[in-house]
Amino acid sequence: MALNIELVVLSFLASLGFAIVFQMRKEDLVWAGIGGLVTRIAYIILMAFIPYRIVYAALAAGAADIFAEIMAHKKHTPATYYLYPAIIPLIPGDLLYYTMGGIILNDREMAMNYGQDCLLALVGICVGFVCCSTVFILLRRFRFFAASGN
Amino acid sequence: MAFEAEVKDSRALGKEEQTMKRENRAAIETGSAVEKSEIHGADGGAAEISGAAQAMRKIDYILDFALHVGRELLECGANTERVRMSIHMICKAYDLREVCVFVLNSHLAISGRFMGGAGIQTVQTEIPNNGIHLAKLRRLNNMVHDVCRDKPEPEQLGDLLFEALMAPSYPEYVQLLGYILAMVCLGRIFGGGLSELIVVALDTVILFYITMRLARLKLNRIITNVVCMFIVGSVDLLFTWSGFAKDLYCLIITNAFYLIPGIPMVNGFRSLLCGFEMNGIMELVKVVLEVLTIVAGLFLAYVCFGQGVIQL
Repeated sequence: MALNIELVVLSFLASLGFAIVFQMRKEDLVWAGIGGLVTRIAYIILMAFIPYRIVYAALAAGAADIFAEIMAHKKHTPATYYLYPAIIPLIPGDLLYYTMGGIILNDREMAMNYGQDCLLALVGICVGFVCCSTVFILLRRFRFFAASGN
Repeated sequence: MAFEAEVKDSRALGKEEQTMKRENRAAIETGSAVEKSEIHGADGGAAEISGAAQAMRKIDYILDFALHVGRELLECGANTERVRMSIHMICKAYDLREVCVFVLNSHLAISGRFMGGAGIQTVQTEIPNNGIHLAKLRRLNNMVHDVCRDKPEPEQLGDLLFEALMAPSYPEYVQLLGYILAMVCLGRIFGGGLSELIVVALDTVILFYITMRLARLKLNRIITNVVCMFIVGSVDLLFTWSGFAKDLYCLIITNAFYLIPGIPMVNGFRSLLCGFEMNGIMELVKVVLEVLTIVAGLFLAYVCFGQGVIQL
């Protein structure tokens, strides 16, 4: 439990740090941190109940996307604005690194294992994004075409 | 291209210079109108600009504007769907027909024509840098919505774009602090202790300044990654060899996170799933190449300094 709380706090701070690097406005920095926090909480809870990486990665990415879309709607910004800092806890940079490390060190087993995990995580994240954002894009398009009378 | 060169330079200019430039631009536009009028007069024997010529000029402005908005959006980190939608919105607001938008992260082309216009016009540009600047992205997005709602005169679009590009950036030391905060947190997530986190902070400072210096030289990203990871890898090996840090992998992975293009990796995969296969494949190939160079830089450091001393 203590470890999970630490992870959540660290994710908040990491997303906040990346929000500064991504040149987010001062007044939105805390929201960026909260995005990372929400994503990490979703990830921890889902990982405890679902054994398949692709599924819990997809659902956690979906949670990040829903958070970003809601914030974007409230603050009149593109969803990307809140999404980029929020997905920091999900990015499988370490898995990709180990995969490439396995390829360079000629360690086939390491490359295969990490490569598979990395691919599953990426597919899961993207499926989560695509499913959630498609719903929101369709809603926006519907509103845009309805407003323009076509 | 009515304001292409000016948009390129706009980031480097102060507010006073911007005002002067706007005045100059107004003068240039008046001049170009006269020039077009004269040319038309010579060709068609008419003294005034015809309706068709005016329409051509208007479409020039709109397509230029849409092109620059698209380019700036891509340079600020917008994904291709967002760029495509923004351009379509602008073109629709100004009644352009048969609009076709071709977007890659490195290239953008738009074509369209006015209703009843003579022919289709096409404009295209390269995207030299893909970074992330969320404040600018937000302003550009708001500006696009304002333009689509208010439909200002095409001649005013350049000024609106200038204003949107004036988004403030954090000073260098704040960005560095942001990086240190993010990297130290990631280091802790990867299991680092106090000594590892101190080394990670030091590595982050080194990486920040090296990447900034190399970016000014406009070096290839692949070379930048090899150089950065070689230097930082050597520092990590030194600290591990001296016994100050114990977990070499934590140091390496955290530092690699600084250079690994995580957001482009996710965006590339997303493009693949969303039906933009060409852009997705190109992005993913770029990401894999960059990560390979990161590993190669570290491997080089290990071969030079770590072999026989530390087991990788």
